[in-house]
Amino acid sequence: MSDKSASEAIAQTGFIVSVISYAVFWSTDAFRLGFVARYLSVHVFLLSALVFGVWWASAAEHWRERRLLVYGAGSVLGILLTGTVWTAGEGLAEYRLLLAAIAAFVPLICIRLILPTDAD
Amino acid sequence: MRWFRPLQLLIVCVPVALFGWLLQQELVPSGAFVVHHAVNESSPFIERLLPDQRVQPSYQDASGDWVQPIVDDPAFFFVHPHRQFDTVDAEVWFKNASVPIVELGALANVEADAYDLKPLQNLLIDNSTWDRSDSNGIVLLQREKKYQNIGDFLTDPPPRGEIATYNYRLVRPFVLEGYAPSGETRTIDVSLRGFNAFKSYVKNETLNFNIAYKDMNRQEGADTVTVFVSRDDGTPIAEERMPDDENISDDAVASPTQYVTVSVPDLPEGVYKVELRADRDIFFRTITTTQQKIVFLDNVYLGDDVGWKAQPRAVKFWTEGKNLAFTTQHADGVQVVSVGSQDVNVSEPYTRTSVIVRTDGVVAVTVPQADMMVESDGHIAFAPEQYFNPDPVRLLYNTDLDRLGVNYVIANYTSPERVGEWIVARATFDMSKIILLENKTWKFVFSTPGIARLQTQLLVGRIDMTWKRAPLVWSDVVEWLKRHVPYVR
Repeated sequence: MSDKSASEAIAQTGFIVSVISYAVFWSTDAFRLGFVARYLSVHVFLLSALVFGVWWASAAEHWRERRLLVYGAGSVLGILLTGTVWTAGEGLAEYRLLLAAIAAFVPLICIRLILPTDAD
Repeated sequence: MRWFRPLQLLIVCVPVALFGWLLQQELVPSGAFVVHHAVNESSPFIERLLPDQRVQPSYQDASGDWVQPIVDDPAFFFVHPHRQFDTVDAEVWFKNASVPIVELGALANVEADAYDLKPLQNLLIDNSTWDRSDSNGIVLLQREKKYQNIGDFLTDPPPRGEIATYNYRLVRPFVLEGYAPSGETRTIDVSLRGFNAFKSYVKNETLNFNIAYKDMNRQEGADTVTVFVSRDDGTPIAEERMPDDENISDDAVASPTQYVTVSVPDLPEGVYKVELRADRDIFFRTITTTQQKIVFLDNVYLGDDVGWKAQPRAVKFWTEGKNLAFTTQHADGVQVVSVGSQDVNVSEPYTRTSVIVRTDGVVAVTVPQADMMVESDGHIAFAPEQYFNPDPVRLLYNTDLDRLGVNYVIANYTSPERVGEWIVARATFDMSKIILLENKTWKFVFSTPGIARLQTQLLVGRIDMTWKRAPLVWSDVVEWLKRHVPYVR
């Protein structure tokens, strides 16, 4: 933490808070319909997670070395993505489950493509 | 401490504060939740006015105010409360030049499609040239001033026939002079479809009705029957429920004839109301009783005799109503109805044909083939000797007070406030009387009788509501935890 820049620390906090908030607000809204949606779209937290995430990625100097953190964040994003596809994909009939499952792995696949492997 | 720590704290606090605010909106700890809805804005709680055939798109009028015209009656809107509330205070901003009666109602009975209506504006009263007295929300109009105040009027009222009421129930009970009970049984042999209500008179006798009905199973769903008896003031007396015939399909296979009986002895003398609560799959075929006086109220649906009689039968009834309307839902129901000496041609299905009765007093009406929805502003009896009129004249938009010999109008009504060009009217609803529909929705309605016939419109600007419930206290939270969280006792 000591070698983090200020912008990296702020972006990291923003990203983590956004992801947790998205999960909490989304689940609360699913449990109690309209709890959030009556006043604002729960997806503003997804947007802020993306913004903070991009900021964090550009500000962090050593993120490629923190594989555990990156894959952890990717997994969380994958879960959120699965939920979003499942919710939005009501009309997809039998493909709904398949597409929701694929969505879960999209962030991890992207990370796998971006991150250098040990061989690199 | 690093300089950006407060910024990080702020980032954490924003969603926490937002969640707290949402929780407050959800729980309504103060007990009052205010909802605003202007016609040019969308609201998550109050939907726009419907249906599109009876309302026009909103626009900015010459004064720059957003308004939405209602051009036919009734227009309705749905309201979505997010939890249970005890009362609703509604405030409606509108502009009205010539709609005689404007009321706001909430759906109170699905089967009867009945609404708990509250007056917003009554131009018949507000524009009346008669002498006007106001006291505690009661208005008295006198053609010629005889009573100094409303108290005097209520203490020593004039004959019932000289009084018209609006949203008001006369306290003094109706007494039918010269009435004597009889043990003779009589049968009303008319097919009545769905919800119907009638009034009867009881004096030293047992109120009793034996009702035969059939479930015609023309629409899907269970069709239960409830006979509900109440005093004239609405106090419940008795209730009999009958289950569905166990055929919930729409195969049009009629059930065997079923019977429901209500019998209530030892009732004090007076008027009693009986409601036959059922949907339109239920056809009440006969009503057998020793009661002598029976008059049906407002709307009667004369059912067809398919599956009951080989041929359609004519139905004759008597009414003092001066404004009648007829609607049939079937091509076979097209016919010419005779109203006294007038012929009324109901020429096509689903078209409401109205008529102003020219004959004074009670008039005989003949519907040659039944299968007709009848609306009347009076009472309906199926035999002349059963007719009686226990109610004063109701002040409707087209009531001819001169012709009816009315000299007094008494109303539970407060004239609305005027704010610039706006009329601001308020109404309070007791939500324990209001139906919460399956999707947790209240249905509200603007009742503007005669608006289409008079070719006028009501311009609605905004609908604001304050939903009220008991304030949240800590003991409520503890109770909730005890009910929903294991090991909390």
